[in-house]
Amino acid sequence: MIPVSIYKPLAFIKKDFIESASYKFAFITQFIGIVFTIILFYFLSKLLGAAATPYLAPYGGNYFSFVLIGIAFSNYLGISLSSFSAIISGAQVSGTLEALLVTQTEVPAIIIYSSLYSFIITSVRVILYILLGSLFFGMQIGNANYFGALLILILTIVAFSSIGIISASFIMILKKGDPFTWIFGSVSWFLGGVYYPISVLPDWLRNFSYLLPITYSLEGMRMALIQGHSLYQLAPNILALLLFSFLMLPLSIVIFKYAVKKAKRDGSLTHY
Amino acid sequence: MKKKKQECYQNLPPAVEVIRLTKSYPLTKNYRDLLLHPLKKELIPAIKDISFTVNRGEIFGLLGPNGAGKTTIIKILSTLVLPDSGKAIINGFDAEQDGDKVRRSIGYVIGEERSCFWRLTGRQNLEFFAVMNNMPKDVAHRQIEKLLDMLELTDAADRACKEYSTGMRQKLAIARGLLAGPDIIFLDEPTKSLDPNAARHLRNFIRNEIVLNGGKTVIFCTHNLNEAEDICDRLAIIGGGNIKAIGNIREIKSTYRSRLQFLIKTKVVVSQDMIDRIKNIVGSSNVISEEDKSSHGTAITLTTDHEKADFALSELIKNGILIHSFQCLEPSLEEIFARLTEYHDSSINL
Repeated sequence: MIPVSIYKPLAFIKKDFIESASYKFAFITQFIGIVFTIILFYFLSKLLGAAATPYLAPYGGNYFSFVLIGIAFSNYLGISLSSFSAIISGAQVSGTLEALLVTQTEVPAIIIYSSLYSFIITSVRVILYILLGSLFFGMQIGNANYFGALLILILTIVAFSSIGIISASFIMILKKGDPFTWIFGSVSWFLGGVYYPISVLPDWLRNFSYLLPITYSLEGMRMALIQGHSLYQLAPNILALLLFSFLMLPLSIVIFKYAVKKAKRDGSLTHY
Repeated sequence: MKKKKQECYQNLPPAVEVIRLTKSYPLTKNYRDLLLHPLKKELIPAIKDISFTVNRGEIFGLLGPNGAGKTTIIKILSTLVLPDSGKAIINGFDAEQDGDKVRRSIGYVIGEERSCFWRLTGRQNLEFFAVMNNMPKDVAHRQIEKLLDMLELTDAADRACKEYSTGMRQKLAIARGLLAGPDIIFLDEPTKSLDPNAARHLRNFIRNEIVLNGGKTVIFCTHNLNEAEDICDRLAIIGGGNIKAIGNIREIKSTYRSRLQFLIKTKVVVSQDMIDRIKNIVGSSNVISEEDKSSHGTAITLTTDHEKADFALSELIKNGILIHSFQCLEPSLEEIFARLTEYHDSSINL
């Protein structure tokens, strides 16, 4: 017999898949967009050529591989920041939130399970990025340390999810216009090294990059996939992500519980 | 049968006990207040010092106009809203302290049409909510089939909910509320979007299947008076966040009977002189007389108390007027409701 801890998340994944797949056009086009992004950056990397090489030397010198990993894995940040809050506002608008909240499933579990499908579909997108990039566009991941990459991926999801849960707490209370997502998202995209290595930033600005989990996530992922670094070599990034996770996950749960209680106190739990 | 049921529940706590429940909501600030008084909190009272008890196996109505506080009460009982003060005990558990135990005891049927996942089929919706309620797969399967059958949804079970009619969606919401076999069901205006036939059918289902056969307790929120009269064993009339009257329909009506109308029909036409004498007894503005074809005499309507009505009747008899009928006109629930909810000056407990 399958335990509740397994079949409950599976029920959410099944529900979200049925809902998502029923919007056939959107379901298909989300994958087609990946091909266009890859082609765009393939030609952009050709244009940059050797010009960017000094900054890219630690990553093997190839801008296409560098940027593709940046774009692919930054999807996790995007989905973490948006999915938790989207779940709440979506359920508030559609009227299903009340029905869910009176079931025997705790609120944090509802929020976490509801995000699983988004993470799965993001993982499929990331795999497609890497697969298409390496098979057809010369992305170099021949020496990849897949176990190291997987470890970094798990820590990335945990660290980013904590941020997403904090964002959902804002939505729970403010309903719209969550400042946390906006600030954190913009700063991460700007300073996290998605499109360029943080070494191009001036020193004072680069110091802010080290406060962001995405910096360690992308750095570690590139080192694991492109350079095939060992776990020992990846340790600084792994430890930084672990530290973020240890600090942010409990904090995010405390903030979220406070937000739920406040919304229940204000009577606005199901408002939008 | 009802008495027998009450005996079965003798050793159990009441289904619901609401003790001095009070709740206010913060007022949404406009831009000016947000700038000038960012920390000032203004509150609107939703319910004030509400107390009532719901017995097991009964249908208890919360009757009130829009904004009276019915939904606030239901949401507190369902653990969706926390009270400012007071207690709500459901199935013996405190709604504030034992939220998870309360949720195991209740089924909440929302009147909103869009409370199911529209792109899932009816069956998929129920399967999903069965998992959310920790139901083992085989038990859930049996229960879903039973509920689909009881609610006549079997044929539509594998169609997407977006294709359902309003009535079918409402039935699905009820199936979802009953899915985990809760002891207590909260129905928040379940017939709101239904046509009269579908609404009547649903009320019969609630009365016969859920309460009489299923042994459940139902709290039924409505602002529809006929519906409340039709289905509720007892009800509380709520206005302005207070309970204005509570009891069964007969008790509520009898409380208001003393201030109501009496109709005397005579077998002969009553002279104006006699009518004036009656007016002297009960007050001229409280007497209406008109010719009555059914009794071939006069119909005299008196708005007064029992004592004066009896006195007026004996005066007529004493003067040799043959009486065709004498009756106390019961107030309709609508009249009581209008009186109680329009003027918030009196509270009546029966």
